[in-house]
Amino acid sequence: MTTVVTENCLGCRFTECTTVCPVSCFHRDDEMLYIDPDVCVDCGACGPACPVSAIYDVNDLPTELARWIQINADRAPTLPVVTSKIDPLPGAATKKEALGF
Amino acid sequence: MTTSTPRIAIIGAGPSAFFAADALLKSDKHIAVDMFERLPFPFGLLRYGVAPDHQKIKQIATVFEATMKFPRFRLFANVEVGRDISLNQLRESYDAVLLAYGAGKAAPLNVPGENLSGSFSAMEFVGWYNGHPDYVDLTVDLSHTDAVVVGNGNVALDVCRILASPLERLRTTDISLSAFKVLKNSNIQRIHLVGRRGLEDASFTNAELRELATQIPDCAMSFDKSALPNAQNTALLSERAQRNIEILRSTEPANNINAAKNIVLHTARSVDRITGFDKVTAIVLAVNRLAGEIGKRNALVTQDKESLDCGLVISSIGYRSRRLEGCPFNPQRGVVPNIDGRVTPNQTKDGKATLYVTGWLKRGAIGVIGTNRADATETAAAILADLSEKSNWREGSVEAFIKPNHTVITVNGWARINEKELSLGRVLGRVRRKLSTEQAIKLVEGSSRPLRCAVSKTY
Repeated sequence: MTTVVTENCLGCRFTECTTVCPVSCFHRDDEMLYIDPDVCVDCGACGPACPVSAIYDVNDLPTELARWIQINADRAPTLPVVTSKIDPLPGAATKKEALGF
Repeated sequence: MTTSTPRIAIIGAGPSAFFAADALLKSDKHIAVDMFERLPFPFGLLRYGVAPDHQKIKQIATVFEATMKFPRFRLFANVEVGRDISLNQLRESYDAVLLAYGAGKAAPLNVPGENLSGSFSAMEFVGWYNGHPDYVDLTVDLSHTDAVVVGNGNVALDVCRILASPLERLRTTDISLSAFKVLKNSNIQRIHLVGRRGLEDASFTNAELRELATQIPDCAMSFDKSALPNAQNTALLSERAQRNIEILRSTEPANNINAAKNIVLHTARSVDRITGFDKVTAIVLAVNRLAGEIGKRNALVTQDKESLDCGLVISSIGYRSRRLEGCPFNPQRGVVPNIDGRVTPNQTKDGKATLYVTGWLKRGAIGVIGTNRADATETAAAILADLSEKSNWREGSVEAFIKPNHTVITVNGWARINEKELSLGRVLGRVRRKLSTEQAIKLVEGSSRPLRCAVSKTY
């Protein structure tokens, strides 16, 4: 069981989740965030913090997003950790609106 | 003692205290942090609140252990502010005092019979199975077949899960050994979970509800299916509430009719009274009428009542903070009034250290552990901003206020206790066996002097 970041984060990267993560398991590239499943303790704090509902407990993950489990596991360990809020990506507000949030 | 650094006292050693300490110690201001804890053990609700079958969450302790390793961090556990040292003495000795002692009182049901033997608050019951020094010796009688848990939050689910768990789920955990023995002889077959409003109003998180509803072996959950909102109304609920309804819809109680334990959900019921002569024998529930729009409904108590035979009642309807002498307090909300973590009204007129607040004491007893990190970061930022306007640091040795024969548990003392608990656990095939207050103090007093002297180090 773990928690994963999915495609709604792409192009947004609001990073609210990183402020509530007690174990520093969020990593970032230029497009989005990823959770390191070996570090995450499934505390559930990040999901409700995300303004675009990009974060899922795998138990709630819609089938069409299942590939994100592997993507998070592969990408996170190779990228720098984020532990506090950074500016969202340019265009994040527009994408958020387009996503209906 | 002369110091060239700002020194901050933190009262409490739970998650919000550690998140704040970490943020302060990682700043570029060369801050020193002294943390004061009433119990001889750190980590607060991570140690004594999080259920023993949730060991993964307890791994957060490794983050707090890392904070303790900062050279400018000191632990003063087994030191109670208000008893062993006063808040004023701290304010005279430090440049800022951060209140992070949480919510140590249970919200009362305020009904007749609440004090009968067999009626507990979740604070007591959770403390009992988690080996909390204040509650580990409670007498809990599980000889009756029916238990009632009042409240619809995650703590109520924890209590249900511990009562419903097959022993194998708990055997290797750090559950209190005496509680484990009592659970081993439990006669409980039905656990009634009582909510004031509807299933869609419950504050359960999805993961906790799913675990209890679908992942406990030999345990079934049942409820009146007509209490579920229809599809149209469900669509109006929050994402979390919608998933909770989905989880409940997916349970098939009928398939599990012979389960050893049954969780029975009672909705739209308030506790009218608890009855019994010298111990609990029944609970009387008032039937509520739910009014208002879906997702925001109010419970209106009606004259209709129903009685349920039971031998145990556990009320899990929230926590309140205690008032600390010398600090502003809002008794209605049970919190310390503040703006962004700065205690209001501002107390600096007396020339002593400013007060700050974080965690449950700041915003009330809501949110998961991680919620306190963002909260503590906000308060730490307020402290850092205020300190950057000062350049003279208070001189004061807090050790002078603590009685010389009082045993202080320091970082080294805790390391010793932790090591002992883990090694006792290994012998028993458990992750940990928690020590009692007496055992911990004896262990630290019996060890070499440096454990105690470590408190006196200067920076």
